[in-house]
Amino acid sequence: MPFSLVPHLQHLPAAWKLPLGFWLTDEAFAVAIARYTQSDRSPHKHWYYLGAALFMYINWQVCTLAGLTIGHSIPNAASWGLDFAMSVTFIGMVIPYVKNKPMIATVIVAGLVALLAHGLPHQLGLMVAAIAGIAAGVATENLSAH
Amino acid sequence: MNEFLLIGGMATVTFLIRYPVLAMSGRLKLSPQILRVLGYVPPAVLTAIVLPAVLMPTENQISLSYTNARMIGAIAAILIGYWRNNLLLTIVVGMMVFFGWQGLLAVWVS
Repeated sequence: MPFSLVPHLQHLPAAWKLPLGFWLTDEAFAVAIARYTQSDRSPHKHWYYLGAALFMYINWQVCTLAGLTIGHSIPNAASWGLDFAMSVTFIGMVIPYVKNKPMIATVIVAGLVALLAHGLPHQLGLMVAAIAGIAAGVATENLSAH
Repeated sequence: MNEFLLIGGMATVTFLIRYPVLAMSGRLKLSPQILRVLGYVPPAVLTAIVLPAVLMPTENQISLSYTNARMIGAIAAILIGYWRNNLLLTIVVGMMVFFGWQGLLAVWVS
């Protein structure tokens, strides 16, 4: 993930890269890269990234505190499936990408490999699936170019 | 005290696997080919996170049944996302369908 942000962040001073690197979660990455790939040439997109990352971080801390202190009074909140919000958010973020054959290949291969490789330790399945999906997209693009 | 060491250690590791690439990025010159490859990273990573989360509600078991409310919610999200191309609407409709389906299942099954 840090690699795909390099072209967008490389001009920033270390004072920016330190906090942005620290707050680079899956969710912050998804929101930031969506902003960076929008066609307008705003030079302030790192502020958007910082705002999103900070809000997520504070929200995480506050909710962790709430869970620790008043969590017991809410019966089995963990079984409600609130984590599904992340899935639908990511689905909504992937859709704008899926506009051509290489991207379709990327999404299909990444998804299938992620399912097959899910049992691998240390979240390796995610890495393998992402690399396979990227390779599929690049290969499809090369094929259709020739 | 042990907990603080543990949290501090985790924070350090988290940071160290993210920051070096960014720290060196000023000196990296990315070729057009690499930029082209990087364009595929977001959809690949996001899909690889979502599909197991949606289709494997219990660890290591793929569920393509109507009893998998996550799958139903995800299908609804994909349809509304393509139709309207509105992220917030996709999230809201996906969650509503998921919760609604879960509620229906609870009524049917019991």
